Amino acid sequence: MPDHMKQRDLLLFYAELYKPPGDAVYEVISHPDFRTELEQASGAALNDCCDLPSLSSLKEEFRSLFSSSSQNGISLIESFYKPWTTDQTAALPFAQSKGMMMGDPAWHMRYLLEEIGLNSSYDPMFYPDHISVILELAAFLLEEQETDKFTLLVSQHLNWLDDLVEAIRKQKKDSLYLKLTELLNKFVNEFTICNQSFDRLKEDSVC
Amino acid sequence: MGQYRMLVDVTKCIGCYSCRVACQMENDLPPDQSYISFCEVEKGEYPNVEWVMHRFSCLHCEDAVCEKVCPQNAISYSQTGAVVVDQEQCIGCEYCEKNCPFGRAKVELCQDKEGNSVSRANKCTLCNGKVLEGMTPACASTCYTEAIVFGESDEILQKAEQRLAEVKDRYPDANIYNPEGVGGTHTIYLLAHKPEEYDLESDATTPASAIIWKDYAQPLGKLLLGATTMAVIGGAISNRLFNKGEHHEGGE
Amino acid sequence: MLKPVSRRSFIKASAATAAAVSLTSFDMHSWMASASADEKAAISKIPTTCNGCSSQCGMIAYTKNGRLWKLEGHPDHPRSKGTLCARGHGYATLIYSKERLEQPMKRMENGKYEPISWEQAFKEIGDKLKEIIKEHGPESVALVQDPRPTGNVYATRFIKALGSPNYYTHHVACNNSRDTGFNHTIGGVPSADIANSSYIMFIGRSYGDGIRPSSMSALAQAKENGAKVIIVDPRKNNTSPFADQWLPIRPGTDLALVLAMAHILIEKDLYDAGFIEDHATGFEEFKKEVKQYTPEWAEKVTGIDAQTIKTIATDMAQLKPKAVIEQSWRGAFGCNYKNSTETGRAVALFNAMLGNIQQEGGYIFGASAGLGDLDPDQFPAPQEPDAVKDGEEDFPLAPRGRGVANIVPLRAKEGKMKAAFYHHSNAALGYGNPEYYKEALNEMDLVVTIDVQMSETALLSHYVLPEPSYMERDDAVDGVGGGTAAVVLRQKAVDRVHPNTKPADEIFTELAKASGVGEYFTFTLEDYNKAAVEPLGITMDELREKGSIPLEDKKAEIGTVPEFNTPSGKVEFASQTFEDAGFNAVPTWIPPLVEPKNGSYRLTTGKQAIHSHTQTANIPMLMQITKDYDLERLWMNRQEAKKKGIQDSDLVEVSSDSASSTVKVKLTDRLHPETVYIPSHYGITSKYLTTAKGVGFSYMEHVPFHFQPMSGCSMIHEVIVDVRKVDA
Repeated sequence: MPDHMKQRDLLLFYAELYKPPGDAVYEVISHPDFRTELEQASGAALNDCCDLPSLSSLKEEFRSLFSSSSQNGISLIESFYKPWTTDQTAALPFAQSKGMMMGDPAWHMRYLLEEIGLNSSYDPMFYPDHISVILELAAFLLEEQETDKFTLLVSQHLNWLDDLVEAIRKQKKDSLYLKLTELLNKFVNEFTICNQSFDRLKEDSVC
Repeated sequence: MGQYRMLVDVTKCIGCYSCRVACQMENDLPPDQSYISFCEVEKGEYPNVEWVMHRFSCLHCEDAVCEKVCPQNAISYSQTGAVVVDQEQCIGCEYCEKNCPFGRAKVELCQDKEGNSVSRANKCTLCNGKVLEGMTPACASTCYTEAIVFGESDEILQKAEQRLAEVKDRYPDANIYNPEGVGGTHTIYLLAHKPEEYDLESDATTPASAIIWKDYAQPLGKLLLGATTMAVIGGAISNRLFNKGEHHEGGE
Repeated sequence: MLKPVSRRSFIKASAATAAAVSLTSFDMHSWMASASADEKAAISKIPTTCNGCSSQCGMIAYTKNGRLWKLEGHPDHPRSKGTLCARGHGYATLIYSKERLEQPMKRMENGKYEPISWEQAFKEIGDKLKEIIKEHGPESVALVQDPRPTGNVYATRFIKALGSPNYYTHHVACNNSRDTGFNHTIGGVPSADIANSSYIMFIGRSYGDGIRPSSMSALAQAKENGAKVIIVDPRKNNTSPFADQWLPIRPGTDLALVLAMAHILIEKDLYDAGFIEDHATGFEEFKKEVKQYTPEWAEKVTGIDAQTIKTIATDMAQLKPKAVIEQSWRGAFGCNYKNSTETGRAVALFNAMLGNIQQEGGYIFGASAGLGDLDPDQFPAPQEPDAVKDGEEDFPLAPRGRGVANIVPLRAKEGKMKAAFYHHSNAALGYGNPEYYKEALNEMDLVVTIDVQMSETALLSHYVLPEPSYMERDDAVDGVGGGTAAVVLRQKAVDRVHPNTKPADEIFTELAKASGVGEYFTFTLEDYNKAAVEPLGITMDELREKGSIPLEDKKAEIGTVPEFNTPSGKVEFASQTFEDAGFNAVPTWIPPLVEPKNGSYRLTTGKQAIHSHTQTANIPMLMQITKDYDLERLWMNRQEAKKKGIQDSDLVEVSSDSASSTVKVKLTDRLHPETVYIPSHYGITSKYLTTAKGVGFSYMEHVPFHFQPMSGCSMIHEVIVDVRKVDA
């Protein structure tokens, strides 16, 4: 399998990982070759982790970390980690605050999905800037071999994983989600390291 | 000479904070930053007590110290009479904050165009942009008791005199706060008590040293040393010459 | 291998191509720059209504590219008249808050909440409800809400459809005592024509604290015209800059003041005899009763000197009918004391003695909008239930429609009330003692909360159903009564942020279907709205465009005294209904239930301009004001504090028979020495509301679970506390 398809599968795995866990994702995690394939596809090393939890304890872990029904639930939505808008004309007090929903990233993501024609069938968990949606879009771009667009997307819409890693670490140091998110972050950082901007891409100075 | 003035009539303020929130909306301020601060004054003893809420923001001096000490020329006078900060020029050196005789200029964390956090002077603009478009500042337009009114300079001065006459019976010490020492201001206050009750100096003035800095030292220095070095030197001068020390923020 | 086999993909890629989007648009920064530059195309102006408090002022929401951009007061709405208060601006930030309810939840056996689907929620609630009704009858089910337009239509219909009479509102902890008093004397609650009045007395009500922009500007207008304004309040409240005189009355004795003022009018023959002759009954009995309430007697009770009482009563009589005691809401007699209903009666009757009813500068019964309703032939309405509303026999005088909401936990403890729905209501923190509520709601078989955030009441519920915020949904058309009535619409200004929320109209419709009474919910919200505006000659399109439309043909008639909505059709100075209920026919002095002594204090409470009940406490920009200025502090009279060695901002312990709380203290000369005062918006305990949790304490924790005898109100000021300094 070519590298970009391996990376695509890696992203699709992660897209599943950040949804409430079910059999499919568990099957992947519990596979004996999981760690090897993961490290190969991402080109990074997984930090040592915990024992493999049972599916039911994985479900409980997901609920306590990410569910809005748990107190201090960690957000998986990009807008939450970024200033709400950079629109200088927005006459709202929270315009530049973090921690709000439907910020610029959501708006941009919604635009991209609509324009590309990636319709979401009604899904109660659908937020345009939910991490899983971003990952699915990134996977799609890899599949289409749209490397520049992929790089832009990943560098601009997944550049908040440091904060996500920190948030998980604060709640549970030995979480499987922590280790896996750290790895995703390393993978993503390869693309964000030079803080891609469109101008640079144009100048063909991609690093 | 600017054309507009704002009158804050503390005898009509009920302390509802609507102006603060409307201002935050207009100026995209986060919840914990405000151009307006409040202080309560209680005079007398139960049950013969008067309560006054003082809503305080930049006075927009005619002869503004902050404008004089700014090494970046980031502070200027608008044709409306407002004293405004150009945040793109500002480098967050805090001279304005340290030298404002009223403690109103503040350097706070703001967001630049790229969304990065940077220290910038951050204060009331008298809604300069709105006023230039013929509108009223956000605080004045949301004030339903007319404790904040905005209008042509002379009309506002007249209104202030008229209100002063009306409230003298109830507040014998009432006065209009429009200090001569800074050339008069574009936000003036009808105070119910002596300025000192609100932590204001009766005779606030522009220090001579600030004038010297602005008019002589700074242009020369910039020419010779470049702005950044001057900023460092300027910091030392300004602190030594006319730093008032810690300002007591009324009510905060 | 990494790609999971049975994926639940969010996005469907069937006919998609990334080539459809240019590389420039893929760059968020350049895309943002072009999108926000295109201002004209992107900005919409949507008239709607605020939900920051019960006034529900009209406002204009500006959105840019579908997101909220800025807010202004609606110039045509009778309550905002173009301006908004701090809450109006700030509460809208709720839309984008992380701490909202996002999906239906169910409490599991371990006490934790699990997200569930709407289908599961409706089915389980419906099944449980059918089971409860089968076993215990529909009278074992109740519905409680702080009414809003959609709830007024749907929630009331839902509970009726279930066959239960048990519909209740939040007024039990608001103005039901006042209303009970007013209803049985002058047949309803008019509004004071403040702007045109020459002499205005406020009892407990503070326009400067419980803000409605139009009321505040009316008062400013009255002052401009030279009106005299008196505030009667143990606290020199924030209206005081507009008051000429403060009467620091002993809390709980307002009734004595008003009775003594009535005494003066009678003794000096200063009342409007013509009005009484034509429009009142029972005046002779009343005269006889108030003979004993001399100003000298009142001075001893209220602490206000007799001469002041005489002067005020006389001055008001001289300026009648342009003199008025403002009707207030919760103020001092909405639900506060054992005698509050009697205070309500006395206030209404004193105004009647001034002959100010339906006179300029007096009490005006407003015109109502006269909305239409659904055609019952097309959409059959549920029958009125046979059973009597629970609580009506205990409190026959209380406003019937609203009921006594605290009956629900009482009956739950008795094992009689099995199921309750709480819609837009944080009853467990706001209506009665929270400990009592907790125990009671835990006894029930089914508690469902419908709200936007995880309130204390939601945390006592088996199911929590999320609504979109008021900025993200359409509500039912609403009528606003007044001098000129208006029809108003709350409409969706922005897209739903949380896709898995449902508005109340859909929730109640689905709940009805799941409970087997879906035949009463075959209409849509739009059907109702069309029917509502139909008799007004206005179309929904017009209303959507304008948001708030004054009805020029629905104006209050000034100068003509109406027939009163009482059994006699007249103002009832003596009420047979009161006598039948076991009370005095005429208002009589009743002392407060409890009295402070030996250095203890009455705990009193009230509103602040920046908050509404407990619903705004989790809004960062409003709560930040509280934090910046320590607004959650307990107020204490400076001299009293000195006696106890307490200094400003010291930490103190406030303890009553019910609870003990720790809070910082604010020393002031603006407070009667017999009371300590705590603002009513704090003491949030829900861990889901991280901005609000842990700030201040809730007065309700100290209020015993009890009922005002006439109106069933919570008697929120009938509590005595000790205050002592806490050693650091």
